[in-house]
Amino acid sequence: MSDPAPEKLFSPALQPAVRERFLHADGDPFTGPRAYLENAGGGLTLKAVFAADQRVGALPDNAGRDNPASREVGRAIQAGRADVATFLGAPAGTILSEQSTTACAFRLLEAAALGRRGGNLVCSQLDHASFYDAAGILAARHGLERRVAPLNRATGALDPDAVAALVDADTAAVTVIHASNITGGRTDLAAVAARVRARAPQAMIIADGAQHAQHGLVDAAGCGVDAYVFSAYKIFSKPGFAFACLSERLAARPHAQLAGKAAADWDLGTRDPGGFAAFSAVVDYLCWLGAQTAAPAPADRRGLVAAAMHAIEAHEAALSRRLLHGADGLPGLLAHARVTLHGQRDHRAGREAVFAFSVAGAPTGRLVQEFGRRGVILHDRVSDAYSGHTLAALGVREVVRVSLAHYNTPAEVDAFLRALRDLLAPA
Amino acid sequence: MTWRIGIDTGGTFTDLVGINSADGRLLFHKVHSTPHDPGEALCTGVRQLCAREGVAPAAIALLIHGSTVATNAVLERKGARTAFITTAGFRDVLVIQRQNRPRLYDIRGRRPAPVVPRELICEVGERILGDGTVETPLAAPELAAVIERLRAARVESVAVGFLNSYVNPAHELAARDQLARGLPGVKVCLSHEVIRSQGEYERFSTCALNSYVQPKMQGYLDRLCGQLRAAGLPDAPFIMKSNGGMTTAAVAGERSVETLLSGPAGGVVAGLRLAADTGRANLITADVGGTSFDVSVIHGGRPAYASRSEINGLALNVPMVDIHTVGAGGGSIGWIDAGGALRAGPQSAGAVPGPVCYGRGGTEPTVTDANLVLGRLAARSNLAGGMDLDLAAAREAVRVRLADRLNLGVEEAAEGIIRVVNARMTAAIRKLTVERGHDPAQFSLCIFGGAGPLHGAELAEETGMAEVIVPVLPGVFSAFGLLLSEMREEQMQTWLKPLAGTDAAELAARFDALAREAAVRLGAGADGARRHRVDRRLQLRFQGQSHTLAVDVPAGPIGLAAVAAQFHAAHRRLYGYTFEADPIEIVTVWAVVTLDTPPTPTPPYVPAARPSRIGERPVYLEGRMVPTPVHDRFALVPGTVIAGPAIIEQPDTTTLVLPHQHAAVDPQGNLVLRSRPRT
Repeated sequence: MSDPAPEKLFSPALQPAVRERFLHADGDPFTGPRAYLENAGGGLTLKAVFAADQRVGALPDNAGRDNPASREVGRAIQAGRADVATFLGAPAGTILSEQSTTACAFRLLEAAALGRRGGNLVCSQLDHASFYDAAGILAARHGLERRVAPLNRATGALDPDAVAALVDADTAAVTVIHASNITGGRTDLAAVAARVRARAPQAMIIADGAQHAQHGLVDAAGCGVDAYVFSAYKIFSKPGFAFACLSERLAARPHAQLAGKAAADWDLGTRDPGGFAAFSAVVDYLCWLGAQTAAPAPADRRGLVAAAMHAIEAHEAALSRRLLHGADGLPGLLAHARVTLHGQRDHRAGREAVFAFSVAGAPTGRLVQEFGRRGVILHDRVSDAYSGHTLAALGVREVVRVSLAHYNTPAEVDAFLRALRDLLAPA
Repeated sequence: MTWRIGIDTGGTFTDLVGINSADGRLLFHKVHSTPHDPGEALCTGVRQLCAREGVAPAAIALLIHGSTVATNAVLERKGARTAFITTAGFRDVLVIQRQNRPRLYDIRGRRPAPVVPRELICEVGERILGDGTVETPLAAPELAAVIERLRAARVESVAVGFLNSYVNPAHELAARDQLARGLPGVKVCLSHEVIRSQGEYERFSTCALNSYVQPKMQGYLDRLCGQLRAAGLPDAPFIMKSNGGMTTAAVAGERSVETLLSGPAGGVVAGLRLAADTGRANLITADVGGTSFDVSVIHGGRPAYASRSEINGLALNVPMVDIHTVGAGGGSIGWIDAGGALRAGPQSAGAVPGPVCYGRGGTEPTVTDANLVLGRLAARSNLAGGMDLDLAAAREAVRVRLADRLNLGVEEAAEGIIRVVNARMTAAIRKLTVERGHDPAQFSLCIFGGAGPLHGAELAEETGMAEVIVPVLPGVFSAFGLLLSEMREEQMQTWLKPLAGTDAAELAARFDALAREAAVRLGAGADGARRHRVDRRLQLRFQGQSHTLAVDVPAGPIGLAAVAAQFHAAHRRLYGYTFEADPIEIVTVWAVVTLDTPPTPTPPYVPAARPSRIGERPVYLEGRMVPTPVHDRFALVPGTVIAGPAIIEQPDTTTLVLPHQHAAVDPQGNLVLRSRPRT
């Protein structure tokens, strides 16, 4: 497990400069001013993303034609792919673009499972339904076994040994969630990959970074996975786009494609160039942030992205401490006797800034409404198609989720804590 | 005082399940039944469970018992020496019974003999008319003479059933006073107190059955309470009733007839919980025990109830969960009939001697022996009960008794037993589904009982059900249902009236009156001091018809048009048509009162942290031995999907997954078997 992230809030000068770059940071057209603490459901969108999408999306041609507009479309797509690889720390190779992480999950697992007989797919209780269900459906379809690693109830995270214990010579693929969108538990991806490789070198390791991507640096090549998948809208870009980097051996597995395309080409049909340009705008933003927070500023885009993500982790760690332990006389989440936090109580080690909690005797739907009335946007995860299996593993039917992002401020955390205190105060 | 323990006495095993109401911890245990005194196995089982788990007897707050004492008393004709006193001229109602022929093509068919021998059926002069008016007063001198005869006959109980007593019980009440004076110490049961419904045969038969089983049940419960007391255990157990509710030992000792056919009700109650927990509205519960196969239907989240049933061919009209039972289970014996055909059951090897492979003296090959021969059951396993089974003896029995005589291989003959018993089970499922307007494809099969999960996959395929659900503890599922049951009493009364001309307020008042009576019996108090809920039902029919259909009447003001619509919908579902314009008649008003009790939570499923695959063994599938992975059920993490063929073992049962199926573990830990989608 990596060392705990340092804690350091953005400087008073940087924080507003960060927020100024996002749409609806201080309020939205419907509720007005509010604290947006539902970032696990989708990050705020960068203004630059909106602009890049409009600019490139409006260009009047497809890529591959002999005219300037077409060349610009092609350039934007190629630049977008390169920026995805930069963001992920992935070697040059196959970058898959799809409409969603769920679509990626089905396609990648299908490729890993196809043609296997009597093998198994390994997933976990912490997995998002996209991977968890894809593994179950494809296992049933192909006559494979789906093995499910239990989550650690105490930490709300996944123990590498729990995954490794399930793999064997017949394992076709292992899915690993990098960070839980419910508990915030972070998986030590490199440790999982190393243990799996030791026992099942043939197994394709597919990491789901949908939640982690906005909270910390991704090192897809370094952690030894075969695929790393994330959704663009979770990291300040537009919805309808997910990206993945693929190892050579996974990219070479049979997959749906036009007959004349190169074997390593996984994209199907014409993709929206605006989506690629939008993601380049995200990487541009991260490079800007890296330049603001690192001294001296790295010279290359990957170095700047890394600096930005380290700064984001440090800022979110400081916000997490405040949220769990309180500050300035406001009791933290852990101070309330009626509140149960599901997952890691340490604000840094093995977790990200996503917190699941319940309040004894209070339905989560009602709590979310009450927070909303107090200007704090939260969400509850209930036993539905997305979260049922994980909540059942945690031994609960519903939780309230509060999730932070780097554009959130201490004042917004305090708004949450104040609302919580008021809601729990005796009538 | 944190433990509740449910004890389900079966023909072969007595199952025990304990739940800790403080932390939800669940324990289970199984002991061989002791048919000579079921209380012996009960006390032994509770003592062993407590010793094994370190539960102090004083920590047991509640014992809930599903008893077969009354049922066995009827089935084995070992009830009390009972007399029946009835209206002059109607002595043979119990003997003649109904005009329908139980076996249509059997010209020598005989009706079952009533539990009261004809010489103990006595007449006295009295007559109350259908409107309740007295035409002939009760002839006290005649009754006095009858009492003298019965004293000489040393009867142990007396049932009294007069015509139309459900309208006016005055003569039955007067007869009881006179009997109490003349036959002190002899239990007297009045027909109107057992059921207050039209139809003298059903009322008399139910009353006679109550009298017949009541002394035996009372004696059993008194003895059991003594045994429990001596063991330092709670000495006031609650008893499961046929309606899926429970009652006190005192009430069960008086209204013992309400425990007849209660054995399988626990499984239905547990099935209801499973349906609610997993969001399934339509479930068929099927309990495969050692001797019997009990099937019931949950439709739209509600169990099917019946108010007319029979036991051993004798009418039994008490409210009950509608359960169909056939003699097919793990102990069912494979045999060759006079025509040379292979049969399985209904006779069973029971608890003693049991299947051949148990090594307890059994010589006839059973379904369990066949499952062992086919590799579906392990001869030796730390799981599956931890009992060593004698494979060689089972093979030899199948060979000598069946295979050689049928000119088949041993595995073929064993597979034949399985196919035949599956066919009998399938027919039972169809009886409650296809024959009642339900499409099995719309249902999930919840299979349990120690022998059930070996058969569930094939039963679902043969009936066209999409999935099979094997609960976490199928071997003790019925006993778990006991823990979930609530205190419940019902009161019914015939009230013949055209629905269209009924005053809704008057009908509501009828319901209220019946609910008050049931509430008093329940201990809720006439004033409803203890919180309880009331469910209302009506039995309706088209005017001029004989058979009724039951519809639920929601709480609140009664909408007669809605009631009629429900009746038409039920009629259409059952028969495929209805007569929208024809007048409907109310036959019976039916109130069900349930005491509010803190719900027993479903214990969370926590898998053990160990690899699930524990080995492989050959299993006879599709005509050959196939290497089949064996899994440890309690090491399966929710979400696990296992491709068939597979064997999944656990201490209380073994599950078979067929080659083209897969088994998935749902979040509650249930195994869900489905056929593999075609690629």
